[in-house]
Amino acid sequence: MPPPTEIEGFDPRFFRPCFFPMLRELGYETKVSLNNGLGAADPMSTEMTVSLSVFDDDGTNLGTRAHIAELSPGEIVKIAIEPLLDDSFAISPDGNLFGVLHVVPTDLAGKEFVTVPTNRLMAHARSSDDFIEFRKAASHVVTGVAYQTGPMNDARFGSTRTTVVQAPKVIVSDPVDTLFTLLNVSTSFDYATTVRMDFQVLGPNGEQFARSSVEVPPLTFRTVSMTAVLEAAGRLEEFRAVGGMGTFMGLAKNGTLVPLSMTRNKATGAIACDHTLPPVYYVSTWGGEARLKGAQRLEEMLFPATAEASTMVSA
Amino acid sequence: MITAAKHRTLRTMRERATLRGDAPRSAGQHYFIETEGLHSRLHFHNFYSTFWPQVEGSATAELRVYGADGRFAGSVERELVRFGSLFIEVGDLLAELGRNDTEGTIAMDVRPPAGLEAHLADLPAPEQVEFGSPFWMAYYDGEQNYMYVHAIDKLRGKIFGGDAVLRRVMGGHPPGGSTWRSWRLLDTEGITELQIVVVNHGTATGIATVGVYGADGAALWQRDLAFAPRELHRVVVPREALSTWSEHTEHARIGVDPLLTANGKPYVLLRYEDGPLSLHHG
Repeated sequence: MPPPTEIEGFDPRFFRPCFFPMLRELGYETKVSLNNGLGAADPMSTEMTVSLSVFDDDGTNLGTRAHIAELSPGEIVKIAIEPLLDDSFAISPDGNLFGVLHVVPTDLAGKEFVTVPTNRLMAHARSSDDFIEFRKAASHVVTGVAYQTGPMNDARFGSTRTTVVQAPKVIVSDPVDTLFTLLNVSTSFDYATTVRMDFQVLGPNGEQFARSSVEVPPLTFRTVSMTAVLEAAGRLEEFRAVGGMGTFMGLAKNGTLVPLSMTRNKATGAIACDHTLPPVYYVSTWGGEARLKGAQRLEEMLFPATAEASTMVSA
Repeated sequence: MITAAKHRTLRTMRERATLRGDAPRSAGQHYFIETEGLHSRLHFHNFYSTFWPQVEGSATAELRVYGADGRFAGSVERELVRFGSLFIEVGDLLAELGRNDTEGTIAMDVRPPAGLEAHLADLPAPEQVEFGSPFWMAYYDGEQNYMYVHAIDKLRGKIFGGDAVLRRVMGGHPPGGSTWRSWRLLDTEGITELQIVVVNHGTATGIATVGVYGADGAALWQRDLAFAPRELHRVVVPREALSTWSEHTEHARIGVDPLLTANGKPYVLLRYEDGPLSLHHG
């Protein structure tokens, strides 16, 4: 069922959001290349204003800072996040932070709720590809990843919400760990769903090395260490003995998570970052009933309810 | 021009191919490097298991290697068991083929396991189905500093699976791309190394200008390149150019004019001061 042509009662601050994790506990700072992707020639182009909201590890809104930037059609800007975290935010010295840059058409800014044409919202979401940069000044590490976060976990845009993550990017060795970073985002400050992802760490021959799960509260992210998961399962050395590489297979049945993988050298701080790919990159028409049945088959095969899962392990 | 009747015929052929387990397939394509202290490794998994875990058979991956000049260098096949994955060192693959390339590309097609055809009846729009294999390439140095990205584009002009007619029609000359500018702004201060790898994923020759541009659009550095089919160029921006940019602009962005295929964005290798290399698409 396609979404309606208009969405009523929409909080315009989530018209074109850019959600991003701040890896404060690992000692990285954050810069975001943010764009107003539709150029002046596009009939849906518009001036945008940008504000910043920050959430703590529990999803508590720590504040919003308005007028970070103004973006003309087609314009791009780079924003250093940490220098913006002034008295506008009630930030504690510990814990990770989750940020969202609200890119809002100037004609909608300041309004509590609006009616937005779905095609207008989607045109801007599709044209956005923000680059999130993680930086560690002392070791001159500058890395990052580009991705889009459109309207997710909002029943008005889709009736079913599941996430399947398939990522053959697990690399663990003495200096290297792979962190799967899962973002739980939505279109409202009132979003209240904690999304649970069950996952398996599979070996090259499909062996099930470790099963675990993670719960991601609304408007937060969680980072799951593959080394810690394998260690908790008592199979880290065995996994390393077969090469230290494998596949992360995850399934969430009650929401959409944005998955990022980060393979990090703990000695140098270098990080390989990338998002994973949604199912349609593998099977072009995947969706609807086939998608629901597929998720059910995957659950029966990899996550049977009777199996004993290890406890959640975070980095 | 494809008439309406021919279009209907092709849709019917494609639907039948899908339902017999032989849907058209595209192959993801990646750059590899085995020089300058860097190594490359393919990472891929049996994605058919994710969607149809009840199928017990193995999938088969065909890895097609192309030299930096775009010429086909050879291919190998690997079995992918259910829920299995492949981690293939490019150096080992080249040795198996008797090649000593230091750069090139690898495309991977993955044939579905036997028995899949019995489980495809509920796929939406079977006349539009295409299987893809957008694998990852990991790049790493001697200290295990890793970089990786997913395949940004396909091996254009070649379709696997399906009937010969489908392969010919779907694998025809791919459309070229347009002027492209990265949506990442690079801080110019402190850059000590910048390399840009442009791959022609297509089957036609082409020319393109690769460049670095200030936030105002002014060119900081440019180079014109000519490409044979499937050829790649890795351009190293001169260090003396890098050192002057921060005097003129705080930020810069990479550009290619035009991209050689619709999504053939470049790979960018970047280093600040004496830190580790990073890599991203575009």
